[in-house]
Amino acid sequence: MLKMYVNIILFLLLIPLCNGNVSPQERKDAHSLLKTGIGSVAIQYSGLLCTIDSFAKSELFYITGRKSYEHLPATYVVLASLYQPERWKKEKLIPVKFKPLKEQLHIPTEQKRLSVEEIISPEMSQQIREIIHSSQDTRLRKSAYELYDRAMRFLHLRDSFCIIPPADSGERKWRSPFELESASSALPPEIYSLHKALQGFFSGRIQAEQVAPAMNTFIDAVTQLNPSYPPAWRRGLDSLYARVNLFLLAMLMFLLASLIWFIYFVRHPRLLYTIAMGLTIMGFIFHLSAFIIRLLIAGFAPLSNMYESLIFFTGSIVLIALIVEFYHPRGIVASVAALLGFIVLVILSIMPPSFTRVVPLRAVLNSAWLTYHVISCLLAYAAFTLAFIFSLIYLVKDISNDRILRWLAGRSVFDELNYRFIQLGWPLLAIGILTGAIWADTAWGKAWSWDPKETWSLITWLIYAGFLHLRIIKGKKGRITAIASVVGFLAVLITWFGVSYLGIFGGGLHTYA
Amino acid sequence: MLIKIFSSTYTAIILIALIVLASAYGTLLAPSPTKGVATLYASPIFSLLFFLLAINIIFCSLRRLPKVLKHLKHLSPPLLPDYYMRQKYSYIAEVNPAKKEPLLRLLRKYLHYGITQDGKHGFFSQKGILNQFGSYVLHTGILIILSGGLMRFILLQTGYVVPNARLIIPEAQSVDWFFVPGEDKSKGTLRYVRRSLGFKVRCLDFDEVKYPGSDIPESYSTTVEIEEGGLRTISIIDMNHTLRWQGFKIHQLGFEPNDEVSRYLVEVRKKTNKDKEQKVIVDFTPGTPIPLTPFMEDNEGVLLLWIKEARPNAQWEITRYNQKKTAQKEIVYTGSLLSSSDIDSFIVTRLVPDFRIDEQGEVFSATPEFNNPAIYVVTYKGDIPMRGRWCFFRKEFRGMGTQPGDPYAFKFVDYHIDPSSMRNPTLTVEVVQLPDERVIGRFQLGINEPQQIPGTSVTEDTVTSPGSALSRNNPFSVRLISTTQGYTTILGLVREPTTPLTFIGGGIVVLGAFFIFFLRYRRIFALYDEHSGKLYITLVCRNPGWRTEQEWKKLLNTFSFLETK
Repeated sequence: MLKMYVNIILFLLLIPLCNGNVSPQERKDAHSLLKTGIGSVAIQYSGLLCTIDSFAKSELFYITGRKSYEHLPATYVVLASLYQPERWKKEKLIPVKFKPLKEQLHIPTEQKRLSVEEIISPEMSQQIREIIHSSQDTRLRKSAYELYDRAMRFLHLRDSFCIIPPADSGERKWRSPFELESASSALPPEIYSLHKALQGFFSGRIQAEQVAPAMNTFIDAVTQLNPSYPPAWRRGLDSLYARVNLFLLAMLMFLLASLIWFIYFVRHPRLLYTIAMGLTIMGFIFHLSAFIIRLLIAGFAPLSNMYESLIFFTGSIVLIALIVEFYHPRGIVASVAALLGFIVLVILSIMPPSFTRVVPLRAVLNSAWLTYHVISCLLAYAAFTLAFIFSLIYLVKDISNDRILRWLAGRSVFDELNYRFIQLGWPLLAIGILTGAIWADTAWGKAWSWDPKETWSLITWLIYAGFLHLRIIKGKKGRITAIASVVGFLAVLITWFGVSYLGIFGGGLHTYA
Repeated sequence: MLIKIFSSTYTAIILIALIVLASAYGTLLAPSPTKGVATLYASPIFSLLFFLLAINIIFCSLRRLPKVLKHLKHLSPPLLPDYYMRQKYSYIAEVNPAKKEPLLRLLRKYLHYGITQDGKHGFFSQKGILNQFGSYVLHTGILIILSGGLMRFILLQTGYVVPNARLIIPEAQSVDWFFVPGEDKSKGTLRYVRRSLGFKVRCLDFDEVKYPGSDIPESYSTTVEIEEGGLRTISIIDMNHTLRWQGFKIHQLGFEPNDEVSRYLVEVRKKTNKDKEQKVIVDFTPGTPIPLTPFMEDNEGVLLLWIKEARPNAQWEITRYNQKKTAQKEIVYTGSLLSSSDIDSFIVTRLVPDFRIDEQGEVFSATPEFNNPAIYVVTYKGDIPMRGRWCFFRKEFRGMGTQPGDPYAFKFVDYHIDPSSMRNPTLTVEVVQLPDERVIGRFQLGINEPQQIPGTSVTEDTVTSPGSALSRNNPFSVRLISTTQGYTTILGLVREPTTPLTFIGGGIVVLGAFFIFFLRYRRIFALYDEHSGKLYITLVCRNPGWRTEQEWKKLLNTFSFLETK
């Protein structure tokens, strides 16, 4: 993690020094091309309609493991690779990190990247195939496979460049201009205007400014060909989502807010409370905006995988905290929420685009119950997480007899907050389990299957039920309920992550969750 | 003593802990129907824990109920000022005697119940009464769920509950039975028990739709025809939409491509007088005779197409019915329309890491480990699948899968799996020409990637059956144009009559939780003492929160006009 940020700083410092094979003129051309709005042209990619910007971001990361190359934006690099493949085959795009693989392929240890041309050369490709098929070393096989796969991905870029929608309403597959051109299809010539303009641009025959009118002609032609072509606002949103990382802005806001909250608790000036609250709210607004944009471009509530659920979870924590803070302005809940928001968003920011990009909804998840079930469960998890943090603070203060974290409020406040958030989360988890049961009944004909995820959600609910009995009926407070809250949160972690990733539980119906 | 134990909250906590531990242990076991998870959760001991919890809930609730009712009935406001002064939320004000009447009117308006005694006017109001019943509502919900579980346990013993059955139906075929996984106690192995369904289900079509340009499934659906008592009903079962029939819920569980054919496209030609020819293209599913009227009606009768097996190289039967001679039939042709020796390509459709075959002939992988890898190779003639066979990686099994007359044998000689996932396996298959066993090619390919066999080619002729072979005297010829890949749909079948109880109970639990945690029971008392001219107000709440504070402030605002005195 630290290494990554050190790399980012070094990277920024070394910008003027690392030019590679990219000339300043090319950077200028790249900038001019992107200014035409080429990135917002729609493309069918992995089953979804998105824009060239999203497509390029994802493909470039897949091929190079980076979000840009030599400070050229992903969109330019991918378009250049499409239209100047012979030149870009020679660029050292593909990372090779595993030392034993370098040794096997006789690559100098200091060399970090290979070109596609080198990989697909008869000698090297034969060596790679031999490693893939004969090596006993799993890591070596995996590295060789990855290397080969990245090169293949580069070579198949033209097949993936599906920017031309079908004219026939029954057909759903979009086509690549390269494919249609070679098949000599009977489409109107305007359909190829953009393709030809890009060919002209990359061969140096026309300037970037001349691409813009060709692009407009193309968009008019494809809209006429297929009236369901994505409208400009939708393409604009997708392009914005690919280029501007709103979650990163939210993360920075939460980081700043956390720092100011800390100073506020130590010094208590009222002004800092206002600033910290403002930054937390700003972070929430950025986060919410990114979530809504993702919802609009996907066409369904983005709650279908771990990345999306963590995004919603972060927003839920901050939202709950802001509501509590509105009625009870003490700063404690908002500060914890800002810190949690920052930590979760940092984790999400280092995930590769293959995890973070919008993917179509799997058949099994294509149900309205997904939204109700996941939202209620994640809100419950958010409440339990806050309860867990407050129970931890309580325990630290209790064990140290208030010597540690003296600048925070008294123990009883955290005991009360722990109880209040469990009080909120418990009914929400009940709703989550109930809606999940109804969904299971509509999907599998059975409300309850004792699937590991189901069972662990019941276990979590029962542990918190035990907590509430201790607290409400038996009037227990303090250390025992704080420990119960910690145990309950461990059950939340097992339910949410453990069942899917620990690999010690029997199979189940929630393998996608 | 027993009553005391059962009416204790600690007993409830212990029972909850035992259920938690047993459930957690169950999740570590494999989901096999013969041992582990299914047996644990269906065991009498596990059910007993829930039964004891139900008893505990009843006893605890009954023990506390009289106290709660008494508390709610006790509506008399305290007339002693001391009581008011002891409370957390307490307000005392001296009232101008001139404002006595408006004050009393106001108190009557806000606090509905009042008494007057010795010049003391006591007022009382209670709000959020449902909160006091929340615990009873919630536990009633739990009892309903548990009673559903108990009923299910009893019905499971009688065999009425069908928890996990399967209907496995190839396209264009029907079944009137289902499989229930069970244990063969003598061998300790899994076996499938076949039980009668009571109606017939025919798979008319299975449809898998993928998102365009990707391998991500968008939907799976099976069109079924249910035949019961002479009536036929067509329904569609797809993901997230079960079909309910006779207490059963049928849902889409999975599918498998098979080497059968779901649809044929056939061209039928008829020579008319003066050597002219008429032709018609017929699209039909196997197992259903297709009368070719009126086109194929001649003086002799009506031609029928009929295929018993859903394979292109299977036995075809072409019959002429003579309606004029009281439906006398004449078989004009039986035999194959294609020769199995004419294959020109192959596709590997499936890879199984640890090949096993169950008693019903269904292939499955015993473990995810590559102990006995096998691939399913389907040979093709043009676009028409000819025959499928399993080929094994282990050398001792490599000769299997070849039948007499096969032109080629396929040897599964190597495989490579992307270690990070099970996607994109690379398979190496050797094609051997028979009978001289000459290796004619070694191919690396993935799943569902067609591979041309060298030295073969696809032409119109190779996929055309010899029409003249029907018979010398009949005027008809039949040519197979294309076939469509067949699928076997796997449907889950469940009969769980107690599910509505789970939903009702669950809904009541949520309602009860709402009463407990989102409604706040509070009592407001007011005392106006005419002698001292003082007004005492208090708000009593067992579990005050920020909303209590807000309410108290609002209450004080209402009476704030007294402050102006």
